[in-house]
Amino acid sequence: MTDRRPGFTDEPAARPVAEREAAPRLPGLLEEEGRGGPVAPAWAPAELSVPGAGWGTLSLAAAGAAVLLGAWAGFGLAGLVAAQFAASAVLGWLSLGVVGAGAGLVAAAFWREWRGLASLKRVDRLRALLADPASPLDQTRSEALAWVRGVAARVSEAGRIIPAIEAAGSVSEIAAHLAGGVSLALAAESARLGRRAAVEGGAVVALVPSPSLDAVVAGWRGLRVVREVAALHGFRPGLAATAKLLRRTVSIAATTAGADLLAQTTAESLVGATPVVRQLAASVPGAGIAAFRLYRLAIATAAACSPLPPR
Amino acid sequence: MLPTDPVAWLRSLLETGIRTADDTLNETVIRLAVTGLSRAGKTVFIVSMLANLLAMGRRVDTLPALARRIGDGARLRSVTRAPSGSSTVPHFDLDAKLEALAGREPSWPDRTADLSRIALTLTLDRSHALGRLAGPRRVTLEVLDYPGEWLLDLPMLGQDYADWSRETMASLSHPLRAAEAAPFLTWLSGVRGSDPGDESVARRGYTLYREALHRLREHGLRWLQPGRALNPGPRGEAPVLFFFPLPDASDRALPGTLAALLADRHAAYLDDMRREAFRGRLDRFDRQIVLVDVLGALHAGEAAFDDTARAIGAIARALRRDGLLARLLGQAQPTHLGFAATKADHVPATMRPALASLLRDLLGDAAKGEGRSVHAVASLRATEDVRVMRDGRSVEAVSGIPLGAEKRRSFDPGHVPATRPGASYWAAPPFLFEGFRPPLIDLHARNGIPHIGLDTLLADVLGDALA
Repeated sequence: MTDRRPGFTDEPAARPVAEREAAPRLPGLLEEEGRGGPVAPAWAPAELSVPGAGWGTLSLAAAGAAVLLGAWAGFGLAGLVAAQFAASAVLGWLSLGVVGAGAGLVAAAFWREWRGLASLKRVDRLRALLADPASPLDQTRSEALAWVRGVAARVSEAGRIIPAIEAAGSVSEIAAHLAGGVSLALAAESARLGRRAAVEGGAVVALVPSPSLDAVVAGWRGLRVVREVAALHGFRPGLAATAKLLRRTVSIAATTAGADLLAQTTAESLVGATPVVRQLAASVPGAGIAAFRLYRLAIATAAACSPLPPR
Repeated sequence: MLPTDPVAWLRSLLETGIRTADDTLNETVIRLAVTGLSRAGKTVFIVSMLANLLAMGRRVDTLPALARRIGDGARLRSVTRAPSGSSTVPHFDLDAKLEALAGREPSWPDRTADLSRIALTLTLDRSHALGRLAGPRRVTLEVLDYPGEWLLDLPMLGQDYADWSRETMASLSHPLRAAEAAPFLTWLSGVRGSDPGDESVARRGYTLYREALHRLREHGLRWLQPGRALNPGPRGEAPVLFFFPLPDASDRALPGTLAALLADRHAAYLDDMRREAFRGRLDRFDRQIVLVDVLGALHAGEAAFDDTARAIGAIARALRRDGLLARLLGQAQPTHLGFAATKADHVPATMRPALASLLRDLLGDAAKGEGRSVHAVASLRATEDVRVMRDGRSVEAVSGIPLGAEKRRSFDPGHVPATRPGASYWAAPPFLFEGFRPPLIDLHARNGIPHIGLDTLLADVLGDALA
């Protein structure tokens, strides 16, 4: 490579061309034609997220009530077991086993919730790492590999990019592999789940005898499609994780509604062309709308589950 | 004595207790030292950092990488100027500096002549739901601005007059320094340390030495001591400054001789700097940002480049408090240290990684280790990237209005090497460029100030304290 030296580009170089080619390039200043006036660099910062309201009165009351309820149940059950032991050892062990099994199931549910929330946090972390090319490469690589391995259990195509991520030399390269190797397959599969939810949801809405139940039915199918798409992305969302995911989906839908959802028009024409949906839309207008909304929900959920920033 | 109104007394006691608990739980003070040699861009850096943080408080995403560390900014409640309290350090006049930058004829801040201080308070929600019960955190960020020339007095604090004289005379033997300091060196050849300690001789020697330092600064050299000879500050030139190096300075000068007079002044100067400029100020900080005009040093030639490397290394060493004992006691300073190659807007985007890499190479081991990072930064972006034809070739350049000019010109910074260049690079004459005029910005900087890389630098240096 030929070295260059700094300088203004309109000032003639001091040395002959042949010598210049062999030596470092000098700096230079150049008069500009067509560009004039003061410099005003492009600067249009976005808006920051709004601060959360924090713990509201109801949340605090609910948390307090949950603590009291848990303590009441715990002490009550401990008292019950102690009383049974006082009556007879057999009854004591029996009651301890029953209480232990119940507590174990509750703990398993909490554990599952915690894992669901933790997996969402992992994706948030990976998204933040991928958004900044200056993120630590090793940390980004290990987070990306963990996510891809989770996804590969459902989408086998994802596994093929693991060696590429292991060998990637920059954060941007990892993001490019994820976008090309996993995102497209996940988007296609999410769209398939969305179409299925659209057909099923639309059909059930059409069958519901009362229009007032439309929202309940669509909401139930909506929850299912959110969980299906989340499972496709490697999550096992429980109640809390699903609620968090729904909040994020709403946020994604709000921030990308203008461009991204409009870009889905072509894909939605496929949904509209599905014979069942077309017939439903013709006979029961609400069913057609429910079908489209369920499809869009699937797409927005896929964006919320992806570690790559929404397009 | 019992209180006359027990209810009021109890209420006051309770309020004090709550306030103390709140301060203990929620109040954090971060002392950020923004350091750098003269003309590295410290004052503009501080203005841009403060203006962009204040704009973040207005919910404008001016520092995206930092915002990501605080939940995309969702945990940031407000950013306000902290009251000055009873500080004895002059206030950093942010508004006046913004006004100068955003005026009809925008201009860069004048050379900093004195210490000044400013603090911002960032109010942040905690990241965990349970932690939020304790209320929002208040992180006060204290920043100190000071003349970059004074920073080079830091390494002097560990030397006596004889050591300093020997080191300074050795560096004056370098051809460039010797040429510029010729009048002083010629005069000095007729002076001995054993001569009588005459005031007029000391004054004459100091004047010649100071003139030599000024000429060397114009050549891009930075290792110039004492700093107050170049920038005496608001108190002006006091007699304590009137000393200069002697080639035959001895460890034990006889009383009444010129060497003894100069040694006394040297010691008094260091005492004064310790007391007035450094104690409780530059020796107490948690995080540090070191700004280096590495591009200017590169273009100024090999001597200036090496001089900058030497100066930055010495300053970084002088400011570090990370010995084994400090680390064991958890008192190591700074916990986070960010190095930044300034004026990144003088090179097109594709060359900025090389600029950061060049600084990393220049710093060597000083840039390695936990909590250290190297960046390329423009505190206030004054150019736009363009592609121009030069000598029949299409090259990437930047476009701006050079200082003192009226029209835009494209600037090609030439080849920016990722490591210290070889001999062929230094064969060309130095290229001294004053820089570009500031761009047009909003007077109140409500939407912040356009910058390059400021957010990633602040995220690395401050991010963990705000997360």
